[in-house]
Amino acid sequence: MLRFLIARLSMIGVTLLVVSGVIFVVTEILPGDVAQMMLKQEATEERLAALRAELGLDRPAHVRYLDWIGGVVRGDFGDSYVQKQPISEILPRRIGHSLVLALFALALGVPVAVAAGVWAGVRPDTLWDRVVSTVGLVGISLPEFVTGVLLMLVLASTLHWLPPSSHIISGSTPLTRPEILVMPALTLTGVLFAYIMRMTRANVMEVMQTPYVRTAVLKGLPMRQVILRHVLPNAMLPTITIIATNFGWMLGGLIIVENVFSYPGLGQLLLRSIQTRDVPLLEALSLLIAATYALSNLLADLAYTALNPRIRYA
Amino acid sequence: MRLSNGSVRLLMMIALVAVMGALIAACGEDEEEGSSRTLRIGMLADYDTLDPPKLLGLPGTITVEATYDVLVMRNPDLTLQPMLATSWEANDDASEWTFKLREGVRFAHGKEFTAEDVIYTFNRMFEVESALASVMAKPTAIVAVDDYTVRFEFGTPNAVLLESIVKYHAHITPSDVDPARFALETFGTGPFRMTELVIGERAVFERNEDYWWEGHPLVDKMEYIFLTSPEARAEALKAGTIDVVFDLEISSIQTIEDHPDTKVIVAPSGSYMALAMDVREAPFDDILVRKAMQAATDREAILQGAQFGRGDIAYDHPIPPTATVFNDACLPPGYDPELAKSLLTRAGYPEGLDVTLYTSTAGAAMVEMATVFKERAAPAGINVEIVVVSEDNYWADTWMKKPFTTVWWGGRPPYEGISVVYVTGAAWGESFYSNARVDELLEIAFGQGDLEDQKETFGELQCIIVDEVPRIIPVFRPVSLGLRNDVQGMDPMWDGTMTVHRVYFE
Repeated sequence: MLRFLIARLSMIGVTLLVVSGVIFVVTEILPGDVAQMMLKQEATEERLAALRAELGLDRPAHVRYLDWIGGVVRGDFGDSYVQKQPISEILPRRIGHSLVLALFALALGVPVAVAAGVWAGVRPDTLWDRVVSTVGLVGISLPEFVTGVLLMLVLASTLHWLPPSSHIISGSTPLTRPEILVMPALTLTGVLFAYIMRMTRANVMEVMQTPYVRTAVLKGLPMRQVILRHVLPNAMLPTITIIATNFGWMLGGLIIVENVFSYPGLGQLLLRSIQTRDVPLLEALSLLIAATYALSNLLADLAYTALNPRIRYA
Repeated sequence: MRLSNGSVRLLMMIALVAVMGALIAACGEDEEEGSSRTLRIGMLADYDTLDPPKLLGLPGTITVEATYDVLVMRNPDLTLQPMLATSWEANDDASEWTFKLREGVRFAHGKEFTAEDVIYTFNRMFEVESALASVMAKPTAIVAVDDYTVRFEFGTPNAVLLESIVKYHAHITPSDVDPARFALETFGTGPFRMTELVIGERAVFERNEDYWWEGHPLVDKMEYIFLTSPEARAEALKAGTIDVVFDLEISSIQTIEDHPDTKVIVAPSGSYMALAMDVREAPFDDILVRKAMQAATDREAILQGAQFGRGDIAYDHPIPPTATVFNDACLPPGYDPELAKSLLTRAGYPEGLDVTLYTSTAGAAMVEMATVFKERAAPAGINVEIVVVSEDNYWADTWMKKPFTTVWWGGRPPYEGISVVYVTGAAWGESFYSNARVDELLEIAFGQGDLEDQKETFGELQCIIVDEVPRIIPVFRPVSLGLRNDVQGMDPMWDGTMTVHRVYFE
């Protein structure tokens, strides 16, 4: 088990190194640099040169990369080009915001999706099954900026139930004003619902066909008990993997939702860092999101072994 | 089969998280606002720097305007108002300017404001290559006559100094602070003190109790809030979670006007839209072709199509009709496809002309302007192919590189507005235009203090530019603010920023 963990963690380390290299190369290939993005029409050759020198962009690319990665290894992510602050001071607050939103969306979406999946899986091809499946497909097919704006129009502008934008007012946190989380979380749930519901439904249908479920039914157990004690635990295994990978997606995929609702989390910061070519900030965010993906996958594997005694890692 | 320990734990976790979520949602009742109301201003763009001479974006600029002071302010109605300078005068040929400074004013960190701070500010502006340094003549010396008198010496006449002094890059910074700190902190003598800055989220301001301007500002607390999506900004204003939307998108104006609790202020500005033609390259090297393009431009249609009828018609030069030096004797012809056709025939294009117009979504309604221009130029036999370029590298790789491009400009005072583009070899001379008479007239204008003389010089400049058409300037852009009905005294400024000195709640 320990050897497995060490092997997996060192693989994650290598993955992150590759990710950092790829991101850096991509930002080098992309047209425009942070100096051009900041100065826009006001750019003259002299002002570009002055700003580049100030930011250290006049050094060759490989020197900048090695300098940066050397800092990362020592735990120093450097300063943001645009915000002029150490990245280690910018990130914690944003991570907190995005984590709260992602957990809130999971708490909202997972139970509903699992319940709907079980319900549909137990009675495949009924009207209810079709309704649930269609709703799920619509949810996953509509882009988040459409569902987000629709929710805004209905829940905020028409019904006045919720604030239309999720900015955080001075002296508050998302936890003291959780109403700002509801619409972004609902939007995320729209996407999440279909994944988890379809996966649960398929697994439940499969487990329902197994001999032990047939035995349980035939020996006269109430259906409720059959589902809760026999079907659900076995059907949940692959679903857990889906939830875990979705958690990584939630942190990285918050870009659209956070920007539609002006919620100051990682996604908003990521978009801004791409738009301004703020390479150190972009690198730090990409590594963070890649690490979340990798670690949540690892956790899913570990949870899988815990739930299924037939799988054991040496 | 019994439930394994793992799945029991998992189910309990899920249940726990669900309960927590419900609890959080349940305690989310609205908190009532305090007695003194905060003016909440919604803004789209994000922070870049707060260092006055290095200002780039709007949030930084209006943060500086709220916390620092200039020597002389140009009001929204274009009158000049003494700020840190109480009076000023030039010598006979305007080569030396003397400013009397306000006494007993203190910076946020306690230092008293004196002549040394003025000298420091303007010297530093040139040291750090401020955008203003590229349009303001560099003084040969700035001298402290005494603690409250400062003299700018230029050696040659400089009648347009005040045009630079009123700009936001010229806010006065204290001379005893490490300049590296200006990027993230504010030290000014201005109407507000910044008490909190969370980059990308908000900036919070409290009224400066010691402000020298008796009775101002009129609100106790102010908050800038950064909202990333235009929809969220407009909806937040309507819902009353913010009081002001600064620099409202033209597309949101209608919905804000229609809502019973909100209003829109559209102010004229010097900001304008342009089609730049490289006069060195065919077919634009032929003045007849440029005149044909001019006659094929339907300004009214562009105003309607690209700006929903907001803003003003422009006449191919950057001086707005509201300016004192505007010349109404030299105007381009109205929309006339037949005239354009005959001009094209004379230029050797009897069958019509194909041109490629490069544009981008890099600000303002450039793509919309290009589209309307194409539609209305077609009857004149001008076939425009529009190429929309990625906004990321538009300014760097397309503008001033391709022969025919769209562009938008911020408002500038007359001398600067003309010199930054039309003087030979101008850094932003997007048409690569050169005319000895224009250069000569600009030199004359630089030393002219008298309004009648200025009218004559700028009048001739406008006639030449309209006649030679290095650029088509169809419309001036509006500066729009969306406001709650009870917000008063907030006027958009001539340069596209806003003043917060006189804002109050009704």
